[in-house]
Amino acid sequence: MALALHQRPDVRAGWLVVALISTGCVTVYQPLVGLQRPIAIDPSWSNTFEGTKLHLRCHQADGVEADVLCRNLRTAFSKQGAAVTTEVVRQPGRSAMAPNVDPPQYVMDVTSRRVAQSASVVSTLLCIVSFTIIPQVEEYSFAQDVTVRDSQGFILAQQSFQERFVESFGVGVWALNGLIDLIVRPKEEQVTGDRYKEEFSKDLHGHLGQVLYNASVRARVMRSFEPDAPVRPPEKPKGAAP
Amino acid sequence: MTGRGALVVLLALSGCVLDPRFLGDPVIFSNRAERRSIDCTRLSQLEAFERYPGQVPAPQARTVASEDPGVLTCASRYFAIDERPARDEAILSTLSEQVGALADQAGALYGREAVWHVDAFYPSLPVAQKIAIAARTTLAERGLTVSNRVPTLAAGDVAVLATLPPAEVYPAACRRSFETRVLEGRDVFFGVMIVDAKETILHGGVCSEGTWRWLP
Repeated sequence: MALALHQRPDVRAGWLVVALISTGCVTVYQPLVGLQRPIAIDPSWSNTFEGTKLHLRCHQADGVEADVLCRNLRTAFSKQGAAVTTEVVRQPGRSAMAPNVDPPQYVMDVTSRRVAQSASVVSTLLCIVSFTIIPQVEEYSFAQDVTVRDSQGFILAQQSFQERFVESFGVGVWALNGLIDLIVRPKEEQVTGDRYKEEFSKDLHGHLGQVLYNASVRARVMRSFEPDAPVRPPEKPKGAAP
Repeated sequence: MTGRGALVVLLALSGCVLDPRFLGDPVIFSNRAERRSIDCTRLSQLEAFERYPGQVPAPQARTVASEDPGVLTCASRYFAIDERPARDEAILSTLSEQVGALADQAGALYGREAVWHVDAFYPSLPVAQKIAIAARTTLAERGLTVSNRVPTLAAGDVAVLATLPPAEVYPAACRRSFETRVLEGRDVFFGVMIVDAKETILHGGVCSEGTWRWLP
C-alpha cells in the first residue's frame, strides 16, 4: 500500500533536516545586579590606567572558562593603558604569583561562576515534536565577584555583578526575531547573532574598569594623597647573571 | 492533518505557547531599556519563602546549602537608568550601602558622648544634600547624638580653603573649625565626599579636636 507523501519516512526526515538547518538560537542578555548601573569612566580612553601595574587573577569556577575571561580582561585593561599580568587560579587559595617579582600595584581577583541554570524537559519535548516551531528555552544566570587589593593585600574595592542569558532555540522564535531584527529593531537592539556577547562584555569590562579606578582613588586617599611609592623590582643576588 | 500536527495546533490554540516556559521568556520581546530597568537580588530559597510565602515554595528539609539555587527577586527602578547623570546615578543607587559602611566606621571611633555634625561634599548640591541626610540618618539610627547644625567657617577661611587640594583642604578646615570654635569639646565632624571626578565611591573622614583622619 502506498503511503501519503507526508507519511513517507524519507520525506519526514527531510522536513526534520530542513527544520534543524533553518533553526537558530536567540539569546537575550539581561543585567541583574550592578551591571545596569552607569559608570563614570570612559572605557574607550587609552590612558585611564596609564602607568598602572595590574595583576589579574581569574578563579576557575563552575560553568565559566577562566582563561578566556582573563584573556579578554587583559585585552580590555591593556587598551586603557595598564600593564597587565594574568593568572588562572585552578584551585581555590593557591595562587602561583611569585612573591616580590616585580610586584603589581593592584591585584584584581575575578571569580565568575554560574549560579543558576534552568531548562524545561516539557519545553524540549515540545520543541522536538513541533519540529522546533515551539522553542526550547534555557536560562543561565552568572555572577562575578571582584576584589581589588593593593600590593600589601589591603582590600581597596569589592563588588559583585549578576546577569542572565535567556536562550531560545527553534525555527519559530529565530525566524520571527530575525524578521523583526531585519525590519524594525535598530542594530543595538537586535537579539539574533552575537549581539548579546558584545553587550555583556561592554558592561562587564566597563564596570571592572570602574572598580579598578575606584580602588586606585581609594589607595590614594589611604596614602593621604602622597604620590605612589615606586614599586621596586627585587635586588638580584650577587653574582647572578644579568 | 496528522495527530502530531493537531497536537501542535491544539497546544498553540490552547494558550500553552503563551506560557514563558514554552514560548520563551518575555524578556525576548522587551527592548534594551526595559531589560535594564530592573534591579534584582538573589536570595536563598528559605529567605525568599519567608518574604514571599505565596509565590515561593518552601525549601525541602534535606536541601544542602550548596545545592540551593536561590531565588532571584526583582523590582522595577523608580528612575530610568539614564535619567540622572551617570556618576550621580551610580552613587545614589548604592547610597545606603556606602554611607552605612562609612557611618559604621566613623561611629566606632568615638564614644556615645560625642555630638556628631555631618556634611557632604559633592559637585551637585541636591545630591550632596541627599548624601548628608543619609549619613545623618544612619548615625542617628546607630543611636548616636547627631546635630542638625552644619559647621560653617567664616567667608575668609572658605575662600582660602577653596584654593587648596583635597589632601590639604580637609585637615586645614578641621584645624580651623576648632581654632575658631565652630566645633569644640565633644563635637565630631563626619564628612562624606568624592575626591575625584571619575570615581563612583564615597570617601569619609572625621574631625575631632582639630585632627582630621580619613576612614579606610
